[in-house]
Amino acid sequence: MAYKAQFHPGKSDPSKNRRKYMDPSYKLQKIRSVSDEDVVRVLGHRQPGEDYKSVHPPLEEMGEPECPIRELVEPTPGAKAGDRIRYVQFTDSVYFAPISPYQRSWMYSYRYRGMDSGTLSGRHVVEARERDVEAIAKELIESETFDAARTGIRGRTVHGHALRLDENGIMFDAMQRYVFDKSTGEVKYVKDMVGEPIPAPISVGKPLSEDELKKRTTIYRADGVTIKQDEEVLQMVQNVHWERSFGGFEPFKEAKF
Amino acid sequence: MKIRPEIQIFPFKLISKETADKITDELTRFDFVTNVSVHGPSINSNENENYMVGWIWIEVEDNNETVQRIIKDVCDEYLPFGYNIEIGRFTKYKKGVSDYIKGLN
Repeated sequence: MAYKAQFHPGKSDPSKNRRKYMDPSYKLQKIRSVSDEDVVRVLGHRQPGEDYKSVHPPLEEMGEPECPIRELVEPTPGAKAGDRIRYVQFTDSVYFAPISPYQRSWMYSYRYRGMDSGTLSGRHVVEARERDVEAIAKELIESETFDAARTGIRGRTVHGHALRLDENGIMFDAMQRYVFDKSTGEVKYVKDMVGEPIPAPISVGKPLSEDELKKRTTIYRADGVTIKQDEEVLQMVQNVHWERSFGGFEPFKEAKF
Repeated sequence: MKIRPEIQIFPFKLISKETADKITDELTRFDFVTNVSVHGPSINSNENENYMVGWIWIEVEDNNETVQRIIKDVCDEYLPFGYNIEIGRFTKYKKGVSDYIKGLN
């Protein structure tokens, strides 16, 4: 029997969403469209239309040594061209953001190649070759894992994921990179990832409603679905905890919950 | 020296400068209010006037039920998403050691 990955245990909505995002065969739903140029502007690593800077010649010109691994692994477009390593960083609010940093790490590991991801409490950074970063950022910004109000594209001064939301339900940003346009109900980026102004505001669409967010979230919360309501997940967490705590100490002991 | 009590308003959402101004304007009209201070997360931006407010501290002459009811009425009007009210002393009211060293009065 062929092994079929389960990805994540549980039957509740957050568990289903986690499973969905982690499963590479599931295509992320596209809920907005942002042009390539705008993605480049928000990232701020280069000007739109500018050439990619490189740190080494293209692989084809380099004359690589004979190596079975190099033959086996197809380099990513960025690696092929010798791009610089660049990054994109997202902050996810604790108030029912569509995804949280830890699941981002899981999701990226299943979906993207040639990247290095770093998880912190409120933010998640992913490093890769410049054109790969742009492709990843475009896919993530356009997909259902990004909400205009509860997710932020922040290169620095990321503080705000655990702060109260503002009156319009927007996550706090100390650098005020995005503004809420009351007339259209849309969130617009007026600064790039590191806080430099950009020539024209970039709209990322309307924030989702609270009910919709609760359906889409991967976060277990006391005022949403708690982890205790999903027995299988709780069992997994307890298993992991037991094995971490006692596995190296008295491994002959049976796990007791 | 008489230490006046303070009433802290903790809105459940970070409020804009405009809403905070409305609340403070409304409150400073009353005689029993001696000082109103606001506090919020720091802004690292050139447009510093767009700050957010997370705490409002109202210093009052005397803390009694009438005062609390008036303050609650004002809060109900401007903070429909909910808030907490606490009574105590939340800001500095006398010189501390470091202030003494700095020569502050």
